[in-house]
Amino acid sequence: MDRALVVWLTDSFLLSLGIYLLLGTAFSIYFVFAGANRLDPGVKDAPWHFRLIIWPGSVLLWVTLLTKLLKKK
Amino acid sequence: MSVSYRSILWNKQKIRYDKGLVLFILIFLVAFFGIHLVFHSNVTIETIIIRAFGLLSLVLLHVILTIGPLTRINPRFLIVLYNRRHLGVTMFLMALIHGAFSMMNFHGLGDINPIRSIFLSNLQYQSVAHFPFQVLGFFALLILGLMAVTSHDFWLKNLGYKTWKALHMMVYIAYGLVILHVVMGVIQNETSIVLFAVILTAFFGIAMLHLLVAVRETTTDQQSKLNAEWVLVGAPEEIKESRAKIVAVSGERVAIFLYQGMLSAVNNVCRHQGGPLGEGKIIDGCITCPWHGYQYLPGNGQSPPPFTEKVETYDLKLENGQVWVNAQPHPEGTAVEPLKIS
Amino acid sequence: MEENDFYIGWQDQAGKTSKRRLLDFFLVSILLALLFLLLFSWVEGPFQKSTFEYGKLTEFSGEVIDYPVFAIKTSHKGEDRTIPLVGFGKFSANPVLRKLKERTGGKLSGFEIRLRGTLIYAHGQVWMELTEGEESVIAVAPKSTVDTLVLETSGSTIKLTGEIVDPKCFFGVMNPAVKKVHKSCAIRCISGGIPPILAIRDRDGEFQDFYFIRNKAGQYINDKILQYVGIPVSLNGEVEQVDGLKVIKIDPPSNQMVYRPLLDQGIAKCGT
Ligand code: FES
Repeated sequence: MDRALVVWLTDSFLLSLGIYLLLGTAFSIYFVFAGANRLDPGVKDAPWHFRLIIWPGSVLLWVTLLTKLLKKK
Repeated sequence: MSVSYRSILWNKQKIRYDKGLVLFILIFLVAFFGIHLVFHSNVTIETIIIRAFGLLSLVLLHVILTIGPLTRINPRFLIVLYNRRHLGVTMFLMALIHGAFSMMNFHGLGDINPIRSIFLSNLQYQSVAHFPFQVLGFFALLILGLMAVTSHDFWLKNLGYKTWKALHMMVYIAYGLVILHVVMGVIQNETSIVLFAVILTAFFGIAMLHLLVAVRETTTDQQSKLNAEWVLVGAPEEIKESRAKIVAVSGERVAIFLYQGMLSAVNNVCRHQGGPLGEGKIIDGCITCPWHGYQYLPGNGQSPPPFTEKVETYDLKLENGQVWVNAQPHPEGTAVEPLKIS
Repeated sequence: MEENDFYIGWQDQAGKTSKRRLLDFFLVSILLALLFLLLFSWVEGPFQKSTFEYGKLTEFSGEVIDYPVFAIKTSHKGEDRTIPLVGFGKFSANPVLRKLKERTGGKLSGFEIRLRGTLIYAHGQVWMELTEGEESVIAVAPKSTVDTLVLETSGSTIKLTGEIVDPKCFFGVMNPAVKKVHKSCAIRCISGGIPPILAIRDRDGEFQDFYFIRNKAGQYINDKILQYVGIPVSLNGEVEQVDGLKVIKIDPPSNQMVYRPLLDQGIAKCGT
């Protein structure tokens, strides 16, 4: 394989992943404190560490969660 | 479930389970470090850490993959299954330590970013023998991470059972990647063929176990492929009190429960994680899932309040001493008059 | 299944049979895991003795050379030695060399230089990491006597078979530091300027013979040989010896991405 191609593929992949995770991090802050309550009433009275437990998942799956939240409106 | 979430539901039995897991890890690590400090004292500590945690996560992954089929073959192993997610998350953490250390050690403090370096140092992507095996490990870790962070029931509920299950079936992709990562990496490094043989045996063992279970279950399913309106269940005496018989009805599995001289039929798939309700038992008047104990009323397929899970129900009839089930399910949670048999 | 066998996750106590199964499962899996561990530990290796005096700095005085490698000619444990120098992390010590040359007006011979760094040794060789970068140079002073380098050149082309390694890891920072698992690390080091070395095994499989790799003009060709690192290779080139340090001068492969495992026992050729 051509080196330039591998570099291009790697950099595009890592850049997209980085942007995706950055947006996910921004979304996750909203989600763990507010969004999750709207999506699932079971979250309201859950302890703080529960929010910590769902935090990494909300960074990774923010697109799915956002779609669900928007649909719920 | 519509009660408040808890972070981790622990009880005495689960704590015992988790203690066992911690003990397992400790024994493994102590043995690994001990053996290396005594017999391979020339190895640097980084190498020991990388190898110890790599092997440990490999072993745990195999343990995890054995549990599922084992419980299908012998339900007595169900107790190993119900806390499997703790095993999964732990395995991911061990793999993460392995990955992070390898990345720091092999790719850190260099002229390019260590994550880029995983992909861009060895470029022999077209070669089998010299393939950059660390890339495979990277993707396996990504999948395992995705599974680990979504293992809480919150995700199951809010992603929906289908999405969640699909996500967690990716463990097989991760397993494939891990096997290739190991075969193309470590094993190639060593001159002996023994490790290669062991990994291959383990891989085929796991594959065979899964195949065996798959074959068993398809034969049950084929018993009634006919698209008849009513499907034969058998004589009521075949079913033990508080237990069920599972029959396949137009592509779905239905569990027919016997309790206090009555029969009720519900869909076999638990709405929690798809556990086989028909392998469960009626406890305090509720069908109880063998996997994590979700409960459903046999008469209407609904979880008792405050829970909100529902499964489909089916009509039953008795003809010449034989029980028949209607192939057409009622919507989830529909009340059906139980069939009296005595 | 017996009545008391049925165990559900939220129950505090499991039935006897269930508990027994759990214990069996635990025992069988830990036993298999330990067996695997033993087997692995038995098969892996052997590992050579190597040392990286991490956290301990040593000082040396002597003359500095820059060919075939940036090194200091000094004595270590009562023995005259030429100790090659590398930088911190996966980098060469070239910035230090450049700074040094600025101070001496481009000349290296005729100066007594005092350096401080972390020692690395394995395979009978001693190397040093200039851990503190430019701060590693403690003193530069003119010297009355001037050493002359002994240069021997073979003149003819020979073929050497071995593995291209990064000497920093190979001579002690990491262990093991050869073959596939270490390949990408070696590539990073060599890409960072650490002088690549062809390490050659003797009949017993021990690494005994080491050659710095340069092109025909004597320049570094690190970026041209990256994909040949960590695998068995044969190099065709002229061999020369400078003050006991061996060099193989090759024609670098024109396109290192065109990678040809040769029939010659799976050996890839480089610089034919
Ligand atoms: S699958 Fe978890 S309780 Fe049924």
